Amino acid sequence: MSVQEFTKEQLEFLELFEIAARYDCLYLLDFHCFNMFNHDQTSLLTDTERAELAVEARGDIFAEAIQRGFQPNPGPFGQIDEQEYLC
Amino acid sequence: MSKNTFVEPLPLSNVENGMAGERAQFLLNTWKENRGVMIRDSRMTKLSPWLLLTLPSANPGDVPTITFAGKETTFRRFFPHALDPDAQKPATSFLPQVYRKGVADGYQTVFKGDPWLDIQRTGNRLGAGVPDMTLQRLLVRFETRSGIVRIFCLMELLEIHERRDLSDRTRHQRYCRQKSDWHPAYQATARPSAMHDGNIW
Repeated sequence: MSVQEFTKEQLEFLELFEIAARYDCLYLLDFHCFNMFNHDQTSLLTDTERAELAVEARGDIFAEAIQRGFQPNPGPFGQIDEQEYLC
Repeated sequence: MSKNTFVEPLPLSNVENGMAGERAQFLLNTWKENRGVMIRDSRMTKLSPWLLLTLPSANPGDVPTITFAGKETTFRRFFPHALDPDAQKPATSFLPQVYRKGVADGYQTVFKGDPWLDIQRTGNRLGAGVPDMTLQRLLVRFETRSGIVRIFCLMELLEIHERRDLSDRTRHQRYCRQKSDWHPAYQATARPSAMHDGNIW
């Protein structure tokens, strides 16, 4: 699939997952998923649920990643405000 | 409890021997086995509803920024709007300053790497609308392999006291444990594992 075939919400979740994996904090994604949906299998979530998870977890995950040098990718849907991700 | 504080440090042996409850024992054992390194673990995920995670630094006399609060935590229960995405102030600011100052010392210890256990009798320090409680707190410092540090706080609600009971010690006699090895701070409380219906995590 090309980037254009993903929705904005799908891309945001994929980015969050990739950042969590890169900075070794997938456990934070597990924690948030379990607290919201009573399981930690993000592959079982609907797109809507993944979008909700991304909203809940991104502040937690991106705050650390940015402090460790991560530069948010503006992506195809416009500029991302770094402050948006800080707790 | 001492006269000057509502927080009483407890020996970690209370956790090791199971007196502080199974969740605390699991958390401390995991911390020891992993040497403080956080590894993805489904058992830790199942514990997460009872965990508060914070950043590993705070101003002296204050508590660190909360980054995650499990749905079963006392913080979520009594400050349900503190972590709303549209909250206009930091989550910790929902905690009154007198409480934050009183519980801050434990964080300074755990920032350096040592686990911390205490018991608290909150009285009216958590503000109007929050009951007087006996809480047990275990703090441990976890770090991922990439160096991301979080403080894990496991707060167990041992008892909610009716406000009018503050001067009536006799009403709590039924909770007293007669075992000589119980810390005096536990003597008006239920055992953490007795507060819940079995091992639900």
